[in-house]
Amino acid sequence: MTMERPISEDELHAYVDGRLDAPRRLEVERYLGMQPLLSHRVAAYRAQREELQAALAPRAAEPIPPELNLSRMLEARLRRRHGWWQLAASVVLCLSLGGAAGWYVGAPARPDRTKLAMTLLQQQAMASHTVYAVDRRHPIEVTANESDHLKQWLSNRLQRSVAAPDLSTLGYRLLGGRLLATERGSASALFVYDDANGNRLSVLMRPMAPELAAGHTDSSQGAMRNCAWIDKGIGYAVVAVASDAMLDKVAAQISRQTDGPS
Amino acid sequence: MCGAVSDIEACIPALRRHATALLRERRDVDALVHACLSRALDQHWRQNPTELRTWLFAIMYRQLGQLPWSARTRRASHTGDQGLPGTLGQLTADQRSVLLLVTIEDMAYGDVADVLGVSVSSVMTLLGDGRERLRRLCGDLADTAAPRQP
Repeated sequence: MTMERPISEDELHAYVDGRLDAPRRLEVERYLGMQPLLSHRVAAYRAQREELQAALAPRAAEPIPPELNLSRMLEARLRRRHGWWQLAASVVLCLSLGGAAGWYVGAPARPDRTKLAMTLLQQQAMASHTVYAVDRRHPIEVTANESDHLKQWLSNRLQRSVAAPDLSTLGYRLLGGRLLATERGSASALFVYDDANGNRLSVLMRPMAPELAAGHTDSSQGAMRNCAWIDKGIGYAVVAVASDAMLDKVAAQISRQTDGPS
Repeated sequence: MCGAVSDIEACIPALRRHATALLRERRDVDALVHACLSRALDQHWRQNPTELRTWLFAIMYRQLGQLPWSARTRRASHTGDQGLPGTLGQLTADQRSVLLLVTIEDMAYGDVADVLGVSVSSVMTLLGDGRERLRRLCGDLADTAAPRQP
């Protein structure tokens, strides 16, 4: 025998599947050279493998039907879970629940409260982006042309000074803003922007308990990216289908602008 | 938590491809993949699977066992394809699954064992038997003294 180690049936399959290391592969090849019948069988397995791959592998290139779009599935889940307040968003505005701004005011912030607040902020931002910001015809209630009115109206409703961040240097043009209800019946503001290609970006601002604070936190749902943070009693969330890097730039710009004389 | 969503997304074409080889009806294929993805989204926040693709295929196989009876019977009479892929329909379901995972998905034997919930030695037996049976079904009768007879 020229072989130090007998070749097992399992190794023949590993040979067919390209799973042997190079030295062992050479040993198997040498052995097969001396065994015509075995060599014939192994060649048949290889041919099977290649024929099946050629016939079936290209199926992965088929377009994925919309019901298997993961972003859509996630959005549908979000709507199911938070359906009541999304629906309420359009209704509650009329009920004028002014004065309810701020929530959980009282005990100092525990880490899990910050986490809960961030989750609510992210969920509201994602849902609002899905429902309002991407709407082609009516994403906003007050256009950017009426910027003074927009600022005054939203500041009154949120009971603090709220202005639309200027993102023009990053290529985002302000379309306008709208008032949104939070799940606690308080008011929050949504600003909607678009870029040169018409891609929408939204910035959500909602009042938070003053003792809460959280740094810029990225998350995503399918193609939608979200960067959220809490600073000086306001929760911010930026949502867009854009790169994380772009979202971080937008977030940094907003932080700079809101850090100023407010 | 979120990089994982796009990682799952990247596996969808392979899941669909595999489901297509298991089920004849296109709507069953997409129903199976949808069930698999729903389950994955339910579990993903709780689990932290190290090997995402293996984990997803394992979920798909568990969902396959829960499909309505009508869909499962179609799996056994897989004849939609011509040529060698059509001949796969004459293997047992397990032989076919192993052969497809090893060949089309190019999975390691250990991962195939994890997906199907069997031992690696069972995977090797199923692979050997499946390949040999397929060879004979294609009319190749040389070397009948194979170490492992089907």
